[in-house]
Amino acid sequence: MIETWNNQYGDTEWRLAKISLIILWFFNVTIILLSYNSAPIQQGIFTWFNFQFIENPIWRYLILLICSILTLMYLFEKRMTISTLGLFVISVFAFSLEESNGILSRAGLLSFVFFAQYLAYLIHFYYPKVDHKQIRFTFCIQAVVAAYVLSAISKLSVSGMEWVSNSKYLSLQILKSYHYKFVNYADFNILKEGIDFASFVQDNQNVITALLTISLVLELFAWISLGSKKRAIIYGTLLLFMHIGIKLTMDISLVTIFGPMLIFMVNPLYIIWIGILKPISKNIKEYYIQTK
Amino acid sequence: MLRMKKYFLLYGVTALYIAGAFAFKEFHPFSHFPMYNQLPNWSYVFYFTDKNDSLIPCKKLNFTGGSLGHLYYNIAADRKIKYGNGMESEKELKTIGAKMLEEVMKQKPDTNKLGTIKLMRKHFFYIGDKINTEDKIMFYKKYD
Repeated sequence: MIETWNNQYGDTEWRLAKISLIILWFFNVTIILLSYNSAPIQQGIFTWFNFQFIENPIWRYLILLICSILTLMYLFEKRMTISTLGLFVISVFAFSLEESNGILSRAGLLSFVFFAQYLAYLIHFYYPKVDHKQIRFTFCIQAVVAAYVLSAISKLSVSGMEWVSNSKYLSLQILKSYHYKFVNYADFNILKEGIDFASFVQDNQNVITALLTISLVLELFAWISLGSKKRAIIYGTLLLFMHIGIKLTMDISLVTIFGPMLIFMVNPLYIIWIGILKPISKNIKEYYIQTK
Repeated sequence: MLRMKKYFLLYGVTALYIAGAFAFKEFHPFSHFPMYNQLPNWSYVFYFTDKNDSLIPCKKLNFTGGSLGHLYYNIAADRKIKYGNGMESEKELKTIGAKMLEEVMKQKPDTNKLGTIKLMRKHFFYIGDKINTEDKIMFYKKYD
């Protein structure tokens, strides 16, 4: 585990973070491009231009083809300024299209991490002395931090400390979340679970107030994780627990925010590689040499 | 100059995104991430029923309950209709409901045997320390 616990980001770490990110991104973008062919409630760049050509499926397939080419370039580290900028532009287009169909998946961070990587490669292009292997990672963490801090600022500016003190109203949001899940499948067990959980929240308001306070503080002080890989891993793990709590209580995943956070702050695929897969492959190799 | 460079590399992207969010507000990729930034004393859930008033699972309509909620708030905001805690008029609910059903039908669900589809709104709200609910028909349409 010593390779994880230093302050430098290596090539394998980068490669595995890229794989995780592109799987998350490609899956989301493909679904959007196959699902929507118009922008009835124009949002984002669709307020500037209507992009009517998307009504023709050939154009959407062409964008998917460009996505695939850029994805391969990105994974194989080819022309990174072009591939990261291209992925960013397509990401903005696709998620704005989704928002223009009334679906808010809050994917701003997922798009912006590609722009952060573009900036890192651009800076390295103009200033080769700047170590792009570090800033391509840390710039993404900075984008993640911005999202969490903005989320905390939004809560404080709209609700102030009432966000914490109004904890009893969380039960209404819980009922809503479980009902949304219920109407998807018409499964009455889900409904019973939701009602039980909402009652628990009503009866244990002090616990809920404490949990809401912790999550608000975690979001507001996310900037602590900047400047140190160790801090980023520890803080990322705390945020992971916060998201698990949100998922358990309200059945909300926020994949487009949680995903980039987990990938760049904790990088689970790399931890699995360094902690499990690499030692196993080393043991197999040693065993093979001994038996030979 | 060196110190400036150091600070830019350390905080520049965070500052850039936060500044962008304040300048452009909710304009992808910028956002204030306002999800659950308030815990109001009400909440809504939307669902469909068939000719027998039985719930039509959203998955059968190639949609999700959560997406129905997003649609409602987006259409209301787009039509400049104020919403929340049951303040919407019957006419406003009908306007939003018609557009919601139109968007759902774009997913080309199988409407065979469903007959009249009703779009309903369930309203949760507090009176004192007790949670109350109220169900309202927003819009209905007959499918053969």
